[in-house]
Amino acid sequence: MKLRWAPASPFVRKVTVTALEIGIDSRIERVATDYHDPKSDIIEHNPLGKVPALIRDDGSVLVDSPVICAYLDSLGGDAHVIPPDGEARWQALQLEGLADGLLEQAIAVQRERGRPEDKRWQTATDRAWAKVERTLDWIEADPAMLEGKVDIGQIALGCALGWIEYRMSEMLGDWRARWPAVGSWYDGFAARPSMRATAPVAA
Amino acid sequence: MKLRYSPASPFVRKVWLAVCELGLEDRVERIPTNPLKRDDVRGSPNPLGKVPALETDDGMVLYDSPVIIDYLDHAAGGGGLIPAPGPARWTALRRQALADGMMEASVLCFIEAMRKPERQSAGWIAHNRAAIARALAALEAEAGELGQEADVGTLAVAVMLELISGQFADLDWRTSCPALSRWFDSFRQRPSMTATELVDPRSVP
Repeated sequence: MKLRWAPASPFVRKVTVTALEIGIDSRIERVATDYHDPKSDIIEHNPLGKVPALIRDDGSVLVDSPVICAYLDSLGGDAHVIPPDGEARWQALQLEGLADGLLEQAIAVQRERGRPEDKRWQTATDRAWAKVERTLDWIEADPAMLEGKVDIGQIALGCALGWIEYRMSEMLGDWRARWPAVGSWYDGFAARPSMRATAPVAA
Repeated sequence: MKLRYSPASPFVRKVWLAVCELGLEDRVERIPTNPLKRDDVRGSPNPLGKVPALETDDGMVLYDSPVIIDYLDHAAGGGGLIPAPGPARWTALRRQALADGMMEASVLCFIEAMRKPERQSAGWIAHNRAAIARALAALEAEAGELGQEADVGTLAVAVMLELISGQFADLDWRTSCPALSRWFDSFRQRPSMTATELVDPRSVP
């Protein structure tokens, strides 16, 4: 299989961390993609023009990181990151939904900041960032959701926090003091080999 | 179970169609929630302020429509709308992800249009419209394989077509996608789809 890939995409990172954690990364060939380039051939694989997109061996293409990660998890690697059923499944998918959602809000803030100054709308930035903060408050209040063996929820949160810290650390400020349980969990998680191997690097 | 519900959200509509198709109407209470109203968002059990959100009978809160439908499918015994592992599963989930991505692009266009005209980005709207048009062409190419069975893929495609028919009438997708148009005219007759309708967000109080 082939993965349409970009180096700093947090959703691509989710896929790669998943592949590394379940031991099937060597089966994936990476195809570098500049999805900002209007001439990029990514649209031949994903009409939405986004990465990650996974081209399966039968030629069909999966888009959207939750589906791609679920597919990889089904391939029978050494481990699983998505429990098949029961409370563990819903806890993992709940945290994945929270993490992907807070990341989408952070990306919305970043997009707003990338507009020409006279087209920016502070209210949109404030609303989106408030959702990021509320979600971190929510997780901080119930750190038990970060316990247990590595699952897709933890992978999603690790990649989301890693991207926000990489791209917009000035928005986060001293976040480890404000959300200490999340911060100490993240520092432990970010030390995993799968996370160290995929840390975003300045181009 | 309690579902945070807005009749204007295509993602809520997809979840409600799933509830109906699985025969779970009596087990899911709908709680009206307008994600554009601050008081509704503050009272919601979802820190992201999004609909749909499902509160389970165990007190767990799930978000993102694919996860909610996954949970409902398990609650109904499994395999009703999400096929068991195998090729059919990935076909259904692939179509759902594509249709959801198109609906997200539509929502981004809608939000952009709510900004003051001088703060709108024509380029951003054009970028999202182009993604929708390309994805429509991709679905037209596989319209013959969609079939009339309800699963997460066909339900998502149907709701997406309802949404863009209202929001992007000028795309004229029925002319550019004749096979998809025929499929939709048949699929939309399902009782789950005719029982409720997607309403214009500007008409929700």
